[in-house]
This record gives sequence, structure tokens and C-alpha cells, in this order.
Amino acid sequence: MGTDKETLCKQSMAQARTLKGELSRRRMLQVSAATAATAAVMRDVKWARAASEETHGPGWYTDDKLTGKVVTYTFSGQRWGLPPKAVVPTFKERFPNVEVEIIEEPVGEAYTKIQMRAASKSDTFNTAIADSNQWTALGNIGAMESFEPVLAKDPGWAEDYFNDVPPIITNGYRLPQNATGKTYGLSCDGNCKLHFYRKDLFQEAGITKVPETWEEAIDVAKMLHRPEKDQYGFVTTARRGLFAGLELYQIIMSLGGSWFDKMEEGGWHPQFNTDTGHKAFEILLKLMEYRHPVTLNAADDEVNAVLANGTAVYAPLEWGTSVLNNPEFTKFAEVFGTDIVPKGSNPEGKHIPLMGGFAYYVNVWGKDKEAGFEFVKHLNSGDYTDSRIGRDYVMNTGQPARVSLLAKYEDIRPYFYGLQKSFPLGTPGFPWIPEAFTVADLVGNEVVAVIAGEKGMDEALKAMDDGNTQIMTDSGYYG
Amino acid sequence: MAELSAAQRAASVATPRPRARLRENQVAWLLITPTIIILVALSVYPLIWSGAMAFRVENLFNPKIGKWVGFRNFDFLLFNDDTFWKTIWLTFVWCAVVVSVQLVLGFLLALLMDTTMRAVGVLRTLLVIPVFISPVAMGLTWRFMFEPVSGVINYLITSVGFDRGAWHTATDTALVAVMIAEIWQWTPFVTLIMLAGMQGISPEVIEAARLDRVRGWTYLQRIVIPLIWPVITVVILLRVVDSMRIFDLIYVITRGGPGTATLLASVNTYSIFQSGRLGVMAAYGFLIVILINIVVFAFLRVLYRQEKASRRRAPARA
Repeated sequence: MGTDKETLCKQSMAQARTLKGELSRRRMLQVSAATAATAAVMRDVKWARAASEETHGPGWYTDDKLTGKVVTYTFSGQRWGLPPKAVVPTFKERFPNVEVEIIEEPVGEAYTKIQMRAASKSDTFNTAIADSNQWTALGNIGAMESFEPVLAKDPGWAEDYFNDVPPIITNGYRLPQNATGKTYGLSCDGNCKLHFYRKDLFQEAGITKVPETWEEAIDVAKMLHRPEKDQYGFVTTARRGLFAGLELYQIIMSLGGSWFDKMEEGGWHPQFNTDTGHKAFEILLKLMEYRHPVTLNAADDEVNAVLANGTAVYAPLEWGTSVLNNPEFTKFAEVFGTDIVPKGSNPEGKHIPLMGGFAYYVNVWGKDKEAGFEFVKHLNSGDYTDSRIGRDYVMNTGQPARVSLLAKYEDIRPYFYGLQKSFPLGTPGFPWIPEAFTVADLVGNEVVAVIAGEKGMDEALKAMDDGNTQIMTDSGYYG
Repeated sequence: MAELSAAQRAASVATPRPRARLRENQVAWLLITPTIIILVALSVYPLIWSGAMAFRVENLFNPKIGKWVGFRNFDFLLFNDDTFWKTIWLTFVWCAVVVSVQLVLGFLLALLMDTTMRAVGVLRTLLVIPVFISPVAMGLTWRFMFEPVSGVINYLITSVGFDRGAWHTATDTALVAVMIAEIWQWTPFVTLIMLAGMQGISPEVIEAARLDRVRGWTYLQRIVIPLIWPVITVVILLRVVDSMRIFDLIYVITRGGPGTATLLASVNTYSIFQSGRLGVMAAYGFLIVILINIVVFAFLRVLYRQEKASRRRAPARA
């Protein structure tokens, strides 16, 4: 571990010295600007080429007898609000007599709203977006229609979908949430924790490779941290509650740890107050030494904003986002690199990104459910149905779960590379239990208390275990 | 038919006949029934339901696990939860500071505007603008202004040679930052009410004070403050109640963070709700209502006694 770190540092320093000798700062900026301009032109050419494609696939069919109205809830914002609207024109080509209404709501408030709508058996909508971490909770109250009959009617489409979307994603939307479960939702939004860095600053600092381990990530954060120049070496979503909880959990997982000892009868004992938990917390606290001021109040929007404006330059455990590769959002769009999150340098350490992403389900109590099923299927279609669907979805800042679309548009959305690399190694973002948000919130509150200096690490880790145990006892996990 | 005596006639006019009274009662019930139904549905029923929930384990994300647990939720909050007492303390600090500063500033501004200056009309119009801005829109604006690296406040501060502040992003300054936004929004409201009070002071009293050469602090202390004291009492009451239940502004600017630096009672209630612990949330809500009512009641008693005493003194002075 130490040797790797030393080697990386030595290589970086040597590279920096070489670059200093060969390139002036001015020259380097000129080269960067030229590269960015070329990349922008290339991107436009690729968009134009993609836009000219119009291909029906073997899965294309139309039905002008289908009537009704699709009322769907989604989250507001570029990633969720725009893509479903973008595929409506092709949907209307196929189902001209079905109306579509898309209702957006802020993602920060959405989980409780989704649950409240389900608990009250609301019939005001027929499809909605939801998180795999909420799947069991929704399933417990019977809020979702099974997709099995719909998939059985169109086996070609089903085969295409399940061959294209990784099982770590599709399994999250089954009940029970494993390969044997029945499908209750289709995921057109794949996401996970990613490693965002700035290629230009790496080059300037002489950093030649993307950090592999947390120790290397800490070194890079330190090297890039220049607060006197409004440049901060680390940022992440460490807002109180579940956001901060998942930061710690990501590091614990990459050190070979887990949330519970085992997720089956006889298990469910929380594993935070352990050596791995302590080690993970130490890593997080070291990274926090280089944090951007917004970090402790930050969710995705705040992190993206400071990365986009260039005041935060390194985010090794940040949720995936299309906005950083969007030139309309940031002038650094061409220089943001994306890779897999670091791993622990211990023998059990591994790259194991926490999965995020969402799927659409059909509301049991909704009207016009057939139209709803067709809309969700259409939204999740790839080239097998029509290449325009995926193209419109991606062009409108969607973040597909289909690997074929990630690969096809990787040169237009460079961070798709990080997603493709991460999905096969991913793990659920929370334990897949109904109480997922409750336990994550508890852990997050303790994490922030330590970072904010309100509590000691030992006390917080003990409180995480005690709190989790109480919640699991109340829910009857221990018999 | 025997003629009615004058007394009998008067009695029959004063007291409606039983049939008419019945109809009147029926009309009365008819009129208040919708209000009662709405009150019961939206206030009494939820109150009883949440009262029951405070003694239960209830999880929004797993409704199947509900069960009675006695006083456990209260016990947890009062004796085992680190944040409970902190949120209570923060709420009272918030209330004391915000209301005090608003009163002082509002009073001074009202004094300034209680003149015959030409620009007073324009000033009054400008002053009232913050009151009409939505707290959410205002919170977002302040959040961007407080932005530690690229915010306009730090830009202004550094341009006159001071160091930058971390404002809403640091644990030691976050509460102050949110207080500034709250004071900015509601001081004009205090000013306007105080101004109305000041303008209600009789010109004869002001003239008499002028003739007696009562000026400056003595004028304020002996004339203005006693005469507008009922108005001040109302303003204090309104602002105390309003600032106790502050939510939107804090939620938009800091969401209770960083850490628990701005986690006031109302924000914490929502935070517990988001985690799905409905039983704990209900217990927390009840404890907060009880504690806040005790303090507000004590405070109002003090104000009431002061006002009563000042009324007793007034005729004596006269």
C-alpha cells in the first residue's frame, strides 16, 4: 500500500517537473483550449449524425386502438424531467390516441411523497418513477402492478431489455429483489457512485493516473487543494441524512465491509462499530480536510454547481450526473473525466460502487394501466424498438441503464464510460429492505455530527449500530 | 280573547316562542356544522391520531410493523436523543434573537419614518417589499448571496478589505446567516405596525410634550413607548409565534445543517418525517408544542401583567 502510494507520488512529481520544463502555463492553456474546441466540434458532428438516424427496429409496433391517458410522476431537473418528455413524440407515433401528462416534483421531497401517494392508494396517476431502495416498501403495500404479463406478451422486447440492462439494476426492480423475483418496474435511469476529476488539473499537477485507492485519492485531494485560489480538493454530497450516510457506506463497502453481517435470518446485525467502520470513517474525515465549504450542506445540485463553476475540482465518490459533461452547464465539460470509485488498499478492498438510478412502475390503483405499461416500455426501449428513442433520451440529458446506449453515446457523454465500467461491479446503494431510508438517515445524521465536530467518531459508530439494531428489532428482524 | 296586559305583551316580544327558538337553534347549528366538520376533519382528528401515534412504533416505509410501545418515544427523545434538547435550545435562541433585533430595528425605523420627510411615502413602499416576497424565493436568493466562494456578500466584504465568511456553510455562522435573512424579511412588518401605533398618538400629547421640552430618550421612554405599548405587545406576540414555527426559510438555506447548526424544532420534525419514523415524529411534535406553550404562556403572562400595571399607573399620573 505504502509502496503504491509512494510510487504514485514520485511518478506525479516527476511528471510535474517534466511538464514544467517542457510546457509553459500559457502554452498548456493554449493546448487545452484547442483540445476543448476540437472536442466541441466533434461532439456537434456526432450529435448531428445521431440526429439524422431514423430506424425502426424489429420491436416497433403501433396501436391506434389504444386510448387513455398516461399520468406519470417524475423528478424535476435535467436528468429526470427532460428525457421522458423527449420520447413523447415517438410514443405518440405509436399510440396516437393516448395522451401523456408528465408531472415533475423535486427529488429531495419525492421519496416521502411517493410513499404517501402509495399509502393513500391514490388513483390520480398510473405510472411513476421510484428508487430500488423503496421497492420493498412499495411492494409491501401492494402499490405496484407486475410487468410479467406485459413482458410475456412481447418476449423479443423482454429479451432485448434483460440482455442490455445489467442484473444489478434489473434485480433491484423485482420482488423479491433478486434474480428469481418478478419484475415490477423497468429502469431507464442507471446510476452509481462515480469518480469525477479534472483532466486539465491532473495534467497541470502532473498526476498521471486516476487514483485507485482511497489513500491515493486523499493525496490527490491534498495536491489539488488551493483554497487561497478558490480551488478546493474535495467535494461530496454530505448533507445531513441519507446523503452523508451513503458516503460512509461507500467507503465501508470498498474496504470489504457491509451494513449488516448477513441479510437473512440469524443476521441483520449492523457492522458500523467495527475496525472497517473506523477505518472508513478515518478516510472520510481525511478527505473532508480538503472539502469545499458547501460540502456539509450539499446534495447533488450543490455539488454539481461547485464542480461546474470550477471551485471544487475533485469528487471521488459523487453520484453520476450528466450535467458535468454538458457544455451548456459548465465550461469544463470537455475536461471532466469519470472513472470508477476508489477501492480500499487492504486485501479485502475492492471497487464496488454503490448503485443509484430509478425505474418506472405502474400504479395498481391507477386508471388506463395498459397505456401506462406501454409508456414505461417505450421509455425503456433501445434500438430494438427504434433508435430515435434512445437518441432522444440521451440528447435530452437522460442517463440510460442500457449498456448499449451507454456505449453508443459514450463519446457524446464521456461520463457514460464511468457508468459502463462501474455497473458490473456495483452493489445496492442501501440494504434492500423497507426501512432502507430510515436506517440510512440515522447513519447519515451520525456521520455529519462527527464531521461538524459535534460528536466523536467512536460514539457515532456505536450510535449507528444501536440505532440500526433498534429499528431492526422494531421491524421484527430478530424474530 | 282576553286582552294582554302591557307586561305580558312586553314579555312575548322579548322572548321568542318555543317553535321560533327551535328554528333559530336549527339555523345556528346548520351554520356552524360545516365549520365543525372541517375543524374535526382537519384539526381534531389528526390531533387525536397523532396523539395515539406518539405511543406507537410507526414507519412510513413499512406500515406493517405498527405496534404500541407506551412512552418509549418520549423516553427516547427526552433522555437518549442528542438532538432533541439542542433543537429546543436553538429554537429559543432563534426566537429571542430574531424577535429582539426585529423589535429594536423596527422601532428605530418607525421613528425615522414617523416624520414629515418628503421621501417617507417612497421609503414606506420600498420597506414593505420584503414582506411580500415568498420565503422560498427569498431563501434561495439569500443562499446564493451567502455562497462562500462566489456569493455577492463575500465579494462586497472582501472588496472593502475584510476576510470572507463561510456564512451558511459553517457550523458557527450558519444560524447567524439565516437570522440575517429572517430579520431582513420581517423587520419591515414590525416597522409598519409600530409606525401605525406612533401615528395613532394624539397630536395634543405630542404638542404638550414639545411645549414641556420633553425630548430624546425621555420622550421615547415617557411618551412614545407607554402609549404604543399595546401595539408592541401585539407585535411581540405575532413575531414570537411566527418565529417559533419558522420552517421554509431555514429549509431552503441550510436544511438544518451544517450538522445540527440550524436544526430548529420545525425543521427537525420534517427531518424525522423524512426518515419515516412517524411515532417518534408525533412524540416530538407533542413535546415541542407543550414546551413552546409553557414558554409562550409564561411570556404572555409577564406582558399582560406589565400592561395591566401600566394601565393602573396611567390614571394615577393623569
